[in-house]
Amino acid sequence: MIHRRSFLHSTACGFGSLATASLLSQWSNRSDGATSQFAGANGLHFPAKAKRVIFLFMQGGVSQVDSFDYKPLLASRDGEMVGFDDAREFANKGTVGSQQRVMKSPWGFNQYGQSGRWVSDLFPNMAEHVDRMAMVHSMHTDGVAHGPATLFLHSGSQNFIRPSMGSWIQYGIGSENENLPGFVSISPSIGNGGARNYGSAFLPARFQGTPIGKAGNDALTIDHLQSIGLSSGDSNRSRLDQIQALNQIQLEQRASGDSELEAAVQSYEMAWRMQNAAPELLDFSTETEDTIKLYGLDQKETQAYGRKCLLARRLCESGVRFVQVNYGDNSANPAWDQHSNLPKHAEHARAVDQPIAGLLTDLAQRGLLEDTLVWWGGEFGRAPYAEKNGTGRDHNPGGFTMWLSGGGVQPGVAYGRTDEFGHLAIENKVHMHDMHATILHLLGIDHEKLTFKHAGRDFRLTDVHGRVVRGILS
Amino acid sequence: MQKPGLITQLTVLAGAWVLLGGARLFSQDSAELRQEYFERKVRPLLVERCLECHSTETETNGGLSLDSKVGWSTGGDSGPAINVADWQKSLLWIAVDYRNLKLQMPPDSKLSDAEKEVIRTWLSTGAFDPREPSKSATPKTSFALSVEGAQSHWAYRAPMRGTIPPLENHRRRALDAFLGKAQADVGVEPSDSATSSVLFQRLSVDLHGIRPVANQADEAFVGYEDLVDSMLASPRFGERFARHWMDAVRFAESITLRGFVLPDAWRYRNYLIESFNSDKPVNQFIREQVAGDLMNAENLKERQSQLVATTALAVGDTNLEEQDKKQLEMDYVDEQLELIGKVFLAQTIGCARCHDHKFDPIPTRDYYALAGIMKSSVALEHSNVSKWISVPLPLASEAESRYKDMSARHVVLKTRSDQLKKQIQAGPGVSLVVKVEDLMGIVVDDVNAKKVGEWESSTSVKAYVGNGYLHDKNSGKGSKSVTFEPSDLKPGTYKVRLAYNHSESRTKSALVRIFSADGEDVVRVNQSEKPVDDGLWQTLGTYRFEQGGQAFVMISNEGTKGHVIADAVQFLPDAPPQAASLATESSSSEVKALPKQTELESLESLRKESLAIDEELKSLRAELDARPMVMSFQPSESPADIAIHVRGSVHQQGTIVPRGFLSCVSAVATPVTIDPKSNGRLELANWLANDSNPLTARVYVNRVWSWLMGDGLVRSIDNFGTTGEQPSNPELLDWLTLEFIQHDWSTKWLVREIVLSDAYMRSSKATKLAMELDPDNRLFARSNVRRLDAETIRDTLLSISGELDLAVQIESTIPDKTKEDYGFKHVARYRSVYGPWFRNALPELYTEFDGANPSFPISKRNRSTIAPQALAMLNSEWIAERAHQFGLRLASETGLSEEQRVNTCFLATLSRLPSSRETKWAEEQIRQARKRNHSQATLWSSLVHDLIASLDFRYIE
Repeated sequence: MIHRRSFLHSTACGFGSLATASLLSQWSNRSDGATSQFAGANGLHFPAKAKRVIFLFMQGGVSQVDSFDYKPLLASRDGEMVGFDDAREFANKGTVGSQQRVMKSPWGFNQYGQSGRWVSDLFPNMAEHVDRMAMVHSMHTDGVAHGPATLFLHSGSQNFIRPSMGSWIQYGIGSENENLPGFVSISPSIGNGGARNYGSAFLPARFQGTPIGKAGNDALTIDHLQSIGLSSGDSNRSRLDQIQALNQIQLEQRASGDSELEAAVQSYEMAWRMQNAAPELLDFSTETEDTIKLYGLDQKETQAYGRKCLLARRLCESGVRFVQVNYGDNSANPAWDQHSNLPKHAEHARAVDQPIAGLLTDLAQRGLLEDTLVWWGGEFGRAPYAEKNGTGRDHNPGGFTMWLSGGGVQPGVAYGRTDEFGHLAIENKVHMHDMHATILHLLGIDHEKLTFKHAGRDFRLTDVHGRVVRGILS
Repeated sequence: MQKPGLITQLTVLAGAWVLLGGARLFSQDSAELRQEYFERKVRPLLVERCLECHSTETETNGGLSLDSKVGWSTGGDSGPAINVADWQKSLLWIAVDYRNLKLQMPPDSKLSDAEKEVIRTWLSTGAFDPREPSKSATPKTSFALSVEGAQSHWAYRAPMRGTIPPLENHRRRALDAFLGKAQADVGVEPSDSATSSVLFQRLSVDLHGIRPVANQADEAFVGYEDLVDSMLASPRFGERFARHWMDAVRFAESITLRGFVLPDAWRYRNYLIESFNSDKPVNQFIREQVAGDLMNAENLKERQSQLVATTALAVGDTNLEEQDKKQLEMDYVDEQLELIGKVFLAQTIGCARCHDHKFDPIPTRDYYALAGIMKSSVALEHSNVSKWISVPLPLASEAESRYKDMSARHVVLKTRSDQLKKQIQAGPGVSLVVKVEDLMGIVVDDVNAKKVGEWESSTSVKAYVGNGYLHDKNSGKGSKSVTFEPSDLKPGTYKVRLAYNHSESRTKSALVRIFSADGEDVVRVNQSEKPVDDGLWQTLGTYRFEQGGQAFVMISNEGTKGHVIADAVQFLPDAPPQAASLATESSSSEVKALPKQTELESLESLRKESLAIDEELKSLRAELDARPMVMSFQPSESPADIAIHVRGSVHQQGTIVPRGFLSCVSAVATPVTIDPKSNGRLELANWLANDSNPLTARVYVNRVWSWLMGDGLVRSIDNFGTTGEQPSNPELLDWLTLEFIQHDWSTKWLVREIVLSDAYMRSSKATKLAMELDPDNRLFARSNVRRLDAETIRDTLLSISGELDLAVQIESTIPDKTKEDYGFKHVARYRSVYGPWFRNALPELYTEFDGANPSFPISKRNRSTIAPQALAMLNSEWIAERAHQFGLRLASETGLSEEQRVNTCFLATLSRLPSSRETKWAEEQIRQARKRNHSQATLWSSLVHDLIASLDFRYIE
């Protein structure tokens, strides 16, 4: 078993030395007036239980009643017409209690782990980890449609001008490795808010998420990291040297002592280090065969998401604060959005189940799960009844399940409850604002104190809302 | 009817102050009993489930405290929590009842039935409550400046004309006199004048947004003032200033949501360029953007221009997919108010949406007074994803009447078309519906067939068998089929017929498979043609079926184009019927009750007419759709004042407030009243652009100052409120503002005044003392270092490579048929300002180099120095390609010495000749390249690439 700390100091992968070297440099020059309230491992406002977050984003909305929120009533009353308060109908027309046909889950449920949590046959591998998870069954959120709800999930707001959660976190506690961006989004979608979902909005640009790859294409690349023109590494350094020689002449000619110009010269050194660091990060050849299998890289269906999960672990090891691993696409009805064909959930489940289970196993083996928070879920859940009397389920922001695992989270706990049909959260409800507040809390940040002044106001990720969900903290 | 007092009696009889489980309390019960009930049941419940948030000692969320009778009867932002007279209407009851999705308390989970029962009992018996307000609770004090006290803040006072300080010899202009005095007061010596080369670069970047090309510098530098005037007269000036304004009004040509393209937004871009180039008075410029659609015009061109100006308010990046349309409308209005507030007034109006402004004298009623104005025009057309409003661009009368005629013709034809369709649909009579039991042989109707995939049932087109027919929705090709299997088919030979109704839209090759004792037969049926038998049946063939053998017909949509119809399949015994079971009343025909042939024929002619009309409608529509449109407003039929939205919620409305403006400003400005019949937007525009409005002109002057001087006199460009900064030189700001107004709000006058000042022309080198006394350069004793912005970098690089197309773009630059912006590739070589500006596909290098986020108004771009910028300079293929193009050009030039070539590289990129050290540096690069046998093109392109990456390219002294 390789321990994380030994990994960081090993020379096999260059990040150990880079992390130390980074003390001498800065990811950026902070000339824009905003300083990161960097507090390192100690937390900003109180001791941090988690140092980093991996968010496994299931774009489109996974059905809770077909995955983690087992409701036997759906089977016994399958086909019956029942009055439900449908969120879309309410938003459109203000009506409640519309008649809908109850639809049972096509998947069987079994109990797993010492905790005896019910998990459907969609996620047999994740099911093996239930004792590590804190299930929140009583999630609810704002936004009935993908666009608004996706933005809400990421930024705590349905409009396009709020910083993403990863940006807030990076702004709050900085990066552990100043050679790498603190916030990475792997294969983000361009739809439903697109770059706004990892954007820094009014926070300084350096806090925005760096995309690696993009949805709809499994290549994992970062813009402008590939050096062009001259081929070998040495001649690239000599090219950089010649630019820096010129910069030095110009700096001396000006003799103005302008710190911004000095920072610009430094930015080339930083760029050089990133350029060298990134290919190693994306090179999986140092991984063992067991690891490759663990993430499902050896199988066609799981390979794509598996690579992304593996990259997430490597990024975490390198000190990246917030890694989002997207499972989605660029369409208006993204991946998990099964309005008319619920059985298609199986295809998506197949693609993510093994990689996510592998990630949890791997993080645990390496001791990383102790201080890494893994967060799973979509922008909303799905209705327990058939949409338009068909074979799919419509969006449901009123009740759904997300799970957390790792740093500071009470393992094996199930929190909150939806009604008998699994439709609306009714007990210990957790709003998305509350989830945001809780995640910040675990990172040692008081969500009410992490503010940024913009347009005359102090803005927060949680606006004027949000409560820390104490019931899932360890 | 309840029997009153039973429990009362029981408890009294029991002689104990104990309320049994399930005990009922009645309003007639004694005060003692009610108090007992309150103490035992209600108080603990309130403490446990409510007071954590609703108590003066905790958060008083929503302004509501439930810790005393005074608390709940005064209520919070939404009004009293308990209505004693009509308890079921109490907000408290509605909240705990959990039936209103927008008002549910407690928020984390609803009360248990037993707990709810306690509340019900308490409320329905008069809400007895002995609690007094807590002594420690002190009323919240507001830190905000009051409307009455607004005059104590500089920005709300009218500008004052101060005395110009004495002009010394070296200070030629009033502007410098004001600055000079402030500098002298602090003891800061101003820096010397910059070199002419630096000044030329500065002017070129500031006024044209591009580095000067090659060595124009030396040639053109005849007289500084002449240079300024010629630059102001160039169309490049409007392009540059338009781009500044685009930042301020968050201009874009698509919205983030689904990347929808705004096909008419480009007209506003041209409006801006023309406005700046023609030096349109800024008060008019502002009026037009707020209410151009409502203004009188002297001629067509002006009318067009005014209408296009209002696009400013329509290009916001609002989430049009919001399903709660009330909410969406208010979000839209909010976005517009935020814009108006920031751009014209430098006020954070949006802060007052949910509560009175915490710092500035902007009460919530002012917000809703303004919101009422914006809400009184129609800005959106609602649908699942709502849409912005496009109105026709006014045209010359000839074209107008042509479109008018076309529209009229369209209406006439549409009416006829609908009429025809109805007739055709109704058909000649019910006889076109054939009942299964009227048919001979064994008939399998679609309702009894086995369907795979999604089929839609329909009765739109007759004839059909049974209750209707199925069609495949013309989708999911290859994945759908319908199988007709007779349940009780006796062995024998049968003629098999397929029923369908035909039309143009049907497939020409429905795939039909017949499974019989002799195997599988495949027939393709052209369903766009009328079936041969009675216009309903198509014979597939004659087949033999055995006992227990396969016997079914399958229609599939595999390989089809157009709708596939599956109605019924008939198995007609080939041999004469043997038994009475097959006998029908009709022996001459296999089908009875079908319409007469003539009826079908007249239907046919109706169909033909309908088709012809549809054809003409289609081409008319296309022409009408091609009519130039403008993003603007539609007048609302009922302009009205709106209510204050309590805590910003569209579902909780308070007092209605009359439409109006910011009261703190109106105190000093010339009063403007709103006619109740008007929507108030024109009045708002006039109020904004009024000489007496203390904010508007000041804000604009400060904005232009910041574009030219690197920062504002007030550094918080879009916040002149109490949380913004004070002007570093208030006398100067006021003087410039008043002069600007006197010069007819002329931008070019203002620009000239600034760039001809000594302050503008100073070197960026600061003395040590100046750095100590004024590190942030608030006194402008030196020049701020300019940094090329993303557009200037792009335009300059294209100019270096010889690819820049300087042509003024008078049309949209969005390629035809672009419906969404995702993945858009910017291949055009126009100046950046011409875009297209796509929110999901910003131009090359835009994000890296701190381009403005077009989703919200930006008054000051970020100025970050980050590694991704260096990476782009090193590795961007786009930059490398520009350098490469330059290298090719330079290599192909003949008769140039090496020194001349090096000089050309420097002049092209840094707009100056190399210093001696730089010459040496270049010689070394050339020597190295020769050693590696690089071609001429490679040599010069890599040299120029290095220069582009160097400091002096991006930073101008």
